[in-house]
Amino acid sequence: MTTRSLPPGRRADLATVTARLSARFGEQVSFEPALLEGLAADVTENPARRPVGRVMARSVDDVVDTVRLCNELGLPLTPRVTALNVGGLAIPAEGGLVIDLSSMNRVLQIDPASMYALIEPGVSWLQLKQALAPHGLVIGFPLAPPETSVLAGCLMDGLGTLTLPHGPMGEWINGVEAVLPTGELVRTGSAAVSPSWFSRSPLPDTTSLFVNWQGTTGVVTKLAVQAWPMRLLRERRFIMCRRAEDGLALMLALGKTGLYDDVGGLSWPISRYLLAIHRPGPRDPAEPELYLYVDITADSSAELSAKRTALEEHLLRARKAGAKMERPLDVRALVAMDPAFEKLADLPARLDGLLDHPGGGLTWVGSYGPPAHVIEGGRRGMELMQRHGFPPLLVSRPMRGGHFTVVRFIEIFDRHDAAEVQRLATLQRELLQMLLELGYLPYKAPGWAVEELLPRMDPGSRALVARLRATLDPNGILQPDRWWR
Amino acid sequence: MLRQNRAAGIRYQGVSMLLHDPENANLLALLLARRLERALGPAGEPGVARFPEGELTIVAGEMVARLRLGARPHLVSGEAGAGAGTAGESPPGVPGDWRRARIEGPLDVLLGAVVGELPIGAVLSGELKVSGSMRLCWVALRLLRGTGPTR
Repeated sequence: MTTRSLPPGRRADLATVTARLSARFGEQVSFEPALLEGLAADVTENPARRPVGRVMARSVDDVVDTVRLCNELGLPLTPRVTALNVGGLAIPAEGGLVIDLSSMNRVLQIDPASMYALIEPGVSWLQLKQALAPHGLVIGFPLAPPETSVLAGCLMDGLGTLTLPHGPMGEWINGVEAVLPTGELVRTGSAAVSPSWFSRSPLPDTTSLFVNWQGTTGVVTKLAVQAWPMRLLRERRFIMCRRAEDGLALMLALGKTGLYDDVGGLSWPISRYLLAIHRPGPRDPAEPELYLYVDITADSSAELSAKRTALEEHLLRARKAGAKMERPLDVRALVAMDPAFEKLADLPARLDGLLDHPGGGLTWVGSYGPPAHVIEGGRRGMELMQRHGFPPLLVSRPMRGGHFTVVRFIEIFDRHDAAEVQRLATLQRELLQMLLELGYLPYKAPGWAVEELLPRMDPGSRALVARLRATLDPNGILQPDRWWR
Repeated sequence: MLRQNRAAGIRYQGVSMLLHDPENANLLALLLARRLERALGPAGEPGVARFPEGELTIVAGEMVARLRLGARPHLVSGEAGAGAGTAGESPPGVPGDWRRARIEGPLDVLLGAVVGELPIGAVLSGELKVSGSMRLCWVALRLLRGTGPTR
């Protein structure tokens, strides 16, 4: 296929676009208005933008040809799987093209010795979990529905179980195969030379050109992701903490021990959402404010016992210092009390209280930042949420051995209530401004968050990103309005 | 003001349950209401219809919830302002009053009872304090475990 691009910023007329795409993709391309309407928005408050069409890709050749056609036709292109990134990142450019990668959903290889899986974009968390289990391997899981994409989660550098010992998901990637914005196919990591996708080391790290770039540098068609040995024993314990500050302080301490697979805090509204109370009133002051959870795994009962003892000792010290906390409670007790809590016990799970409610809206401000400010950030954010009339749902966890922490504020809302959406947008900005002030940075940053981020950014770094994008994507085809150019 | 609990399946053999003001109920009241709700469901406990009549106060940590059993419908309540201090003043377990009872203990012990044995040891050691009608206390502990009321 020849590539004769229109000048940047110019698009072919609709008839030409339809004809060219139909000629190449036949039934794989759709211009159905109802379908395009559905692709225009996601669950968040980010504005809807209607695409001109959708290509359902089934192969790498389909992706290559789509990218080349977009260059020829001057069409912005947005890759998509389930669009549940909660950052509005799969909302297409107005009048652009969506490439749906969900049909490319094969687990291509599992290497038990090097402990990685080579997957396509449509492979889901549940699918990979089931594929790894016979090999005695596991992967961490985000608090996302089981059908969401592993590849998208990794490229967006998300968080989940096992990000405490192994870092954010972007660090789990051993290499990718990607179609560059101009249509060339590249392979990164060890597999650029070796038949094995064992590591990103020791070549120049071009994999990072695709991590956190929000699809602006290429469409990734394969990804090698690390897995880890499945431990024989596993339990999740919850500690009810009367004050969020005490819970977060204990979370930081436990995160640094190197003993636990995951440690995190969820504030009290999570229980209301799981129990289908979508508009909870104020918290009973006698009620725990934060639920701290600790994942413990071991290969022997002695190891498990030692880790439990260490947890008890940390808890005892916190109590002696005045913290009001219950003793660790096995999640099985919560599940036995109410099956609604099963979703906290076995991931991946669909937190239906967040996704399936009458208003239909879900959004958050998620950030990574210095542990020194997690307590202040958590408290100030919860207060802001209450001031704007939203239940103060905070999620926090230490990452990569406690080197940094996540602070995330989650809101559910009524997408059809314009006043509430406006109130929410104001809250989101205030939350982010507060977090930026404390040195926290948004992950999966939507456009409005980038606006807040840019004025604070080092000019050299800002120019470097723009230069790399201009080099890789001279026609401005891929996700043109993400990040900045 | 009582409001019909929104969840389905709370009526069984003509018996139903009301959760007072779900939006403002505390976690303990919500958990107890859901437990009762399930006991009243089709796969629940037939004996729920024969709960003894009485008022039960459960204090977990500093959270307080109240159950009025045997009423038509059963009532569950628990919201801000009903802290431990006030709980001691209103319906306490009064010796000899077979219509009132109170169970008090750490949340983890109460919830731990759900998956473990009936917490007789915790009662004997004083970790769980029970007072008032022992029959009502027994019903409550069995309700927590999902094994139904006394027959």
